[in-house]
Amino acid sequence: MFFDKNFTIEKYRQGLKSRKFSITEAVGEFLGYAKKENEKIGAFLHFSEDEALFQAKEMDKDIESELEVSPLFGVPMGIKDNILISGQKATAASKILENYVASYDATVIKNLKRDRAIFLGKTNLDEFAMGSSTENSAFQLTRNPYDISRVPGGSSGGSAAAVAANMALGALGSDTGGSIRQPAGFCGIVGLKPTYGAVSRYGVIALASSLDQIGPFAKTVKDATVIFKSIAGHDDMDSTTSDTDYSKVDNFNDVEVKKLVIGIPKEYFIGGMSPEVEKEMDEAIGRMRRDGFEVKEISLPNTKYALSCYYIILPAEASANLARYDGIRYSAPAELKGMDINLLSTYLKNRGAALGDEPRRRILLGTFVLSSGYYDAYYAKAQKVRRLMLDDFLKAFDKVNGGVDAIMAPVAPSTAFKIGEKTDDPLSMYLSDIFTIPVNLAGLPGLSLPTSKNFIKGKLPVNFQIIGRHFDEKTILALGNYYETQLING
Amino acid sequence: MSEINEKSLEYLLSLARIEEKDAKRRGKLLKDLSKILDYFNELKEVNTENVEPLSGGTFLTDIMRSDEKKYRGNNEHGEQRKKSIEQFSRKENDYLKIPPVFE
Repeated sequence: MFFDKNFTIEKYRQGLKSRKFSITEAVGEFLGYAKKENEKIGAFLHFSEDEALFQAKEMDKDIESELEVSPLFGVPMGIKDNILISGQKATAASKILENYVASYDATVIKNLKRDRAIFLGKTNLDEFAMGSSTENSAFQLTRNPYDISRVPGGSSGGSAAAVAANMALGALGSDTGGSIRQPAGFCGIVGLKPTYGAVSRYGVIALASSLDQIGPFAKTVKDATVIFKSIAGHDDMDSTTSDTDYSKVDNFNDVEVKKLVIGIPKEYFIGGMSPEVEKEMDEAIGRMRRDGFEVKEISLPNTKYALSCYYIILPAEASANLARYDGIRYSAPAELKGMDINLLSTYLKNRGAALGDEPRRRILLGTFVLSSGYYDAYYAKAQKVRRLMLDDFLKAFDKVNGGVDAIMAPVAPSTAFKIGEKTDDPLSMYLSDIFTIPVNLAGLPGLSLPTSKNFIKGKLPVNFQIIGRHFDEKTILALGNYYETQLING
Repeated sequence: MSEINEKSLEYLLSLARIEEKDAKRRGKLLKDLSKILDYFNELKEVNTENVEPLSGGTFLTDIMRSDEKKYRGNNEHGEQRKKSIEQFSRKENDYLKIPPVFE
């Protein structure tokens, strides 16, 4: 094997430039290694081996002319199985979509194909991206590469584990309440949740449409930026996408990093964090201070209501989005015949048999909070609290009135927990999203990256997040890159 | 005090078109949902008077695409349509076949 744990997209491109290996060789090695490791880690649900090798061979012919102009030329990636690739299965890890084959490419996939990435396969997730550990997948467990008795986080656990275990150089996930940032943290890699509207959601199996965003996983901030730049931008097929120009998002030199003012929200530090996370966070903040950054305490007073607010809004939207899965239109699961005596009983039977516990719980919760008599007390109330949370952030970022440029916060209250530890108690599972949820409610970008390299020496990874202003991914990526290359890489 | 009980759970299940005959699983659902709804009570203490609800993630408004003619023939959308039809669990010609709605 010619690649090691520290192999990155950047190094891969250097290798291709000097013709150290061909794309066919590289993709072949990645596939061989990934298939073998998958028996242990369970990161991939299915591989698209023939397609990937075919692509690789074709690309080797074009390498002279295209390597320079295609930023992801031949880069082997994993794609979360709730994102559509035409002609490939897209199950969202649900029984009800077990046999569904996508009929078109998601916009993010079109963009990655334009930049000539190669897809090794589709990665595991919690059913319909509902969960924080990937244990809600209807098909298989995914294990944390740093300790296989533990979860990789979720819901994009397969994508995170695939990159951390070197089964792919990058991956896509989706983040509705932390589903990129938290698994990136549990697996010690980099994950970006872009601003709501930065990346098209066309072709992602929707969970909660006002919260979902697709984003990258990679081993370094630079690598994550390359993938983000490829997938970001306006799309006619998603009217919530903005026309922000991301063509210079990777010019980190434009950002005067050392002049950035960093905010530490005090509400994130009042209990609830495990000692190892607290220690890593203290050390990360200390590194910034010692390096001369202006770091100051800020207040986001409505933070404590985020969980309630989120678990009202998300199920409400999810219950509507998941109404279309009836076991009729998007192929039928094998054990269902698809049809019963009448339409109503067909719906009841198919959905009753093929939706897992967590989707069931959230659909019912959503149905409840939207039902007549409860709407105002739950859904409308949550939307008002959501506004208050957004206002908290806007005030914190208000530079004219002493605001900050970026916010530094923990990603998860603990390191990766044991498989099975939280599966019986949904509320305790929900609480593992407490630090990531506010960012989705406010539509902000959040970058998750390792606090230190201690996890290489046998400890479990701990990430922190840098939260930025709307559509200001560049600042948080530049800051993250500075932290990663200057403060912990020595 | 939770606002959900055996009877309302039954009603929610029918609204959501989910069959759940297993009494043990229904019991667990009821227990979990009650616990989660109780947790939401903390929102009652937030003063939201005169606060405008935030309904979505975007601040964009009135985004329209211009009308365009799409063909069923041999183009990208035709291909897409064909692949979608292939997914139907039962069909007659190119139509999705379903059991009767009314009897």
